[in-house]
Amino acid sequence: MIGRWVAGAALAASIAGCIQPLRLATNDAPTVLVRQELAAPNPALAGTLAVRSLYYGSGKDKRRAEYRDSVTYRTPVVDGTKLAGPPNKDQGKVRKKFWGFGFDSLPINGRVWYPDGPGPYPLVLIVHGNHQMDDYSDPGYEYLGRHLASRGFILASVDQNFLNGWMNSENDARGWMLLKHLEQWRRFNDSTEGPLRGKVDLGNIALMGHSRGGEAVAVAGAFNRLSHYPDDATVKFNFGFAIKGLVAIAPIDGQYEPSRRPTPLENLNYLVIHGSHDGDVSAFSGLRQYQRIAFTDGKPWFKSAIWMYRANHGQWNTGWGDKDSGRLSPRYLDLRGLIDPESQREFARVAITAFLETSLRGRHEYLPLFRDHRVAADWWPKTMYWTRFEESGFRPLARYTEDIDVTTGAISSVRITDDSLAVWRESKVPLRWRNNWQDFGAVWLGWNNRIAGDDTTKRGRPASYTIIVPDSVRRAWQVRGATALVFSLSPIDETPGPRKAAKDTTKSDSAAKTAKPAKPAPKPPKAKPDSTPVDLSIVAVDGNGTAVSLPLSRYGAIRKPPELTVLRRKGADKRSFGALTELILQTYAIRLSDFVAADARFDPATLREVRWLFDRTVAGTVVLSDVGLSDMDPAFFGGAR
Amino acid sequence: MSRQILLTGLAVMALASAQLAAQQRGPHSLSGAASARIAGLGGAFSGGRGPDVVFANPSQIGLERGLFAGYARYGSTSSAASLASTTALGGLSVGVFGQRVTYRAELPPVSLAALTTEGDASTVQSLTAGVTAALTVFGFRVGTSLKYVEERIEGAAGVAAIDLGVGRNVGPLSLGLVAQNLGSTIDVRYYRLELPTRIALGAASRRLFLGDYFDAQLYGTVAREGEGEIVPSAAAELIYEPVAGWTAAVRVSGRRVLDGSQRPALSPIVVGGTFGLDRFSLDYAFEPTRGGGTVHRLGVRIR
Repeated sequence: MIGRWVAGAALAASIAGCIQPLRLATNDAPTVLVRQELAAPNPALAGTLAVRSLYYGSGKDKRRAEYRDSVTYRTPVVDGTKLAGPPNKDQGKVRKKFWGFGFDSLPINGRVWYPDGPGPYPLVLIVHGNHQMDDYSDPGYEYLGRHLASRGFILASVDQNFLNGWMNSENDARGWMLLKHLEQWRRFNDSTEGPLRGKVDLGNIALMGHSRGGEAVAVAGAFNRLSHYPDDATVKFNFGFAIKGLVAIAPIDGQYEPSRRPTPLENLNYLVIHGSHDGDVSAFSGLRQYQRIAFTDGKPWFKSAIWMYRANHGQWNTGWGDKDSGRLSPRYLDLRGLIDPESQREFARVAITAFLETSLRGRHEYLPLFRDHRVAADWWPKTMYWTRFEESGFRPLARYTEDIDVTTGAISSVRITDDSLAVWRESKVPLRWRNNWQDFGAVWLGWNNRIAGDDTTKRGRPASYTIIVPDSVRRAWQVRGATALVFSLSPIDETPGPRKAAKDTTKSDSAAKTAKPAKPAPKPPKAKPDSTPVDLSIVAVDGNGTAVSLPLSRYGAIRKPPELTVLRRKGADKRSFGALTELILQTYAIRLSDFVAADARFDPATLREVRWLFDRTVAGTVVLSDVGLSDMDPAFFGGAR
Repeated sequence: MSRQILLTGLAVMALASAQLAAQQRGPHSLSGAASARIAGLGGAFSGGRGPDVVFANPSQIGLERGLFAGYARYGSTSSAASLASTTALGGLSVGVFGQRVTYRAELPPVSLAALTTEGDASTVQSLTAGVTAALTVFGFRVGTSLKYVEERIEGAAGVAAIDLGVGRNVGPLSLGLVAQNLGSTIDVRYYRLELPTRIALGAASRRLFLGDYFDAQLYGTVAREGEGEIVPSAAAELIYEPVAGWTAAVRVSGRRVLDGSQRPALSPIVVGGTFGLDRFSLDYAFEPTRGGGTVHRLGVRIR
């Protein structure tokens, strides 16, 4: 009997030993999300319009009764064989048997939520990503559909379940299908009868996608402006829709690469959101697409990336839920750390609605939310957010990808210097996945102001990193008080050792030679995670030498990346990923008028230097990138345009 | 060519089936379950997978390759040890295996169940060793094992035997058909020992999802044995996986027992279990006998 108890206890202990203890970072929302500055109504609130719904589709779907028996608009099938196919012959047979059609006759099916009103209303398509093909994914965005329709948007959730399951390299087809849907929408709007006649504002279109669908919207955005399919020019395109914005929800990136190059995109608004506890796309790979979006036409575009702490992959779709690894998720993933599904979806309502109101309706009162999410403290679920942001007025001083000279910036005349840095190096920014990168560069800056020796209170001059703005740049960019200094930064968990004492030049070399040799330094203790909060000063120096310092913490939270344990098995995260943290830089925007407010003698028009002065934390390391000046729309700061 | 090989193999199996009527029980190293898992499943393993499937159906060895070592204790006087290893060699799956049973015997050799009882006769060793190979042809898995069988008793000479198997996945099932122990008799001084020729059709389900942490797996086999007796067996396995890679399974099986009226006789019910951690599995089976002792089996698998 005792033996059985011992065996039982050993069994329980071995199970417990295999399971990862729950580790969550301390939630700083009570101190970060404290003030609601935006006076605009909460975009997550339902609108006043009644919501109607309908289906469109082939009318002969074998598996989906709604696309067979309940379609308001019948749509033709399309031949996608040049863009996608089954991964092998057997899969082809299985899929054709299941669906009743092959890749040569893909249906254009969608479920629509639209306002009960005369219109015209902006059109938004949303497409799911990969999932079990027989567990249909398109109904899972009804919460967004009903919400957006009540606010005067038409939302169609696109059926691409027939591209799901065991498939690869099909994201070009997913993107192309979205554009084929838009062709049908043009027909619905132009038709002489039907509930959507004349209701669709085809001049204001946005595409949203989740997971592989998140990459598909970028592909669609690129294909929309091409005349030929890049991988087979015998396929001609003729789309040219007025796509103003793309929303990528936990997207993958690089599953499809047109002409074997990362998908390029320019001149549209872009929002990417991702969860820290994503058990499927476990790295914020959408940051790569974010980085590749360029603004070249002089029009007012912006892009925003938001990383939500404790959000997962699936809870943005009510059907997917917490099963990021399929139904075996409870065995593979640590589900205890996830934020509740409703909070995750509330975040989506806020961010996505604000983005669509801005992009498709020109409601600029929501713009500050993308510059600094803290301005909408009351709207966000109370967790932590890391945000990246850039708009078309941004002009880079240093991108850290231009060359291998650490003393030069994005423009050859921009010079960079340091004072007393312990670490100064440039590199690509890694993703959490092993051997994966965020496709942009940054500079690592480490400092320790303590002077080595027995006296642990002895400090040297604070270390600093300075970018010198040349006269030519200042004049060409017409720098003024409304100009904002913009950069992205994150502290990391690395602390350089104390700096060496300055050499005493008053002592002779011979004295030094006869001095008693110093005792060997004691072995440093094993490094522990440094939980010291990091702060630093941003110093602007004008042409007269007036230097004004502002604490960075005033402009946003400064957090080290939290350690993430997404997998249930103890140690599995360490084995599976290149790092236990995701290095996501936080974007800060500081108007030069703020320096004037701090010291009226400061003249922003003669800005000569920008300095990162490490005077508020004794030691630490930060990663800095995308430094520049922006003639940002005043609306981003809550002002009139 | 490949199709011809397949058809020839099936013809040989059919021929072997026709000759079964004249056969009797053979050496214990062929007639006893060679692994704790095979025992725990009541022998319903012709459609199974794992390194120990080499003892049940050679066509299945490519499904999950690895190393197996097992030990069985029959009462306090007899024991068995077995070993198998399978690996890939180009497009082939190949393996080696062996089993040795040590028992005390009167002549002629006692029944398997009788090994659990005390005996004062001399110690006998029953040995089997062999090699196996399998490949996939037109979606069918085909495999064969060549065995050397020896009963070290009364100057008996060793003989060769062959297993032929074919398998295929059909829907959620892994099906396996096998003819085992095709070969000549072992001549002992006063009698002739027939190899325990057997033809069996078995199926194993995939792991069936029952809940967040539970799966089930089902097995069944129908065999034609000895003098033509039909021996059905079936087993169910309940698998608990609280965290990926860590499994605890219990299994119970039922089977028809030939000569069940004799004493001692094998039990129709066998139970067993497995603890698994990633590629390692520790199997156990408990096999009571009616009118005799019990059989305990342990096995280790490394995938």
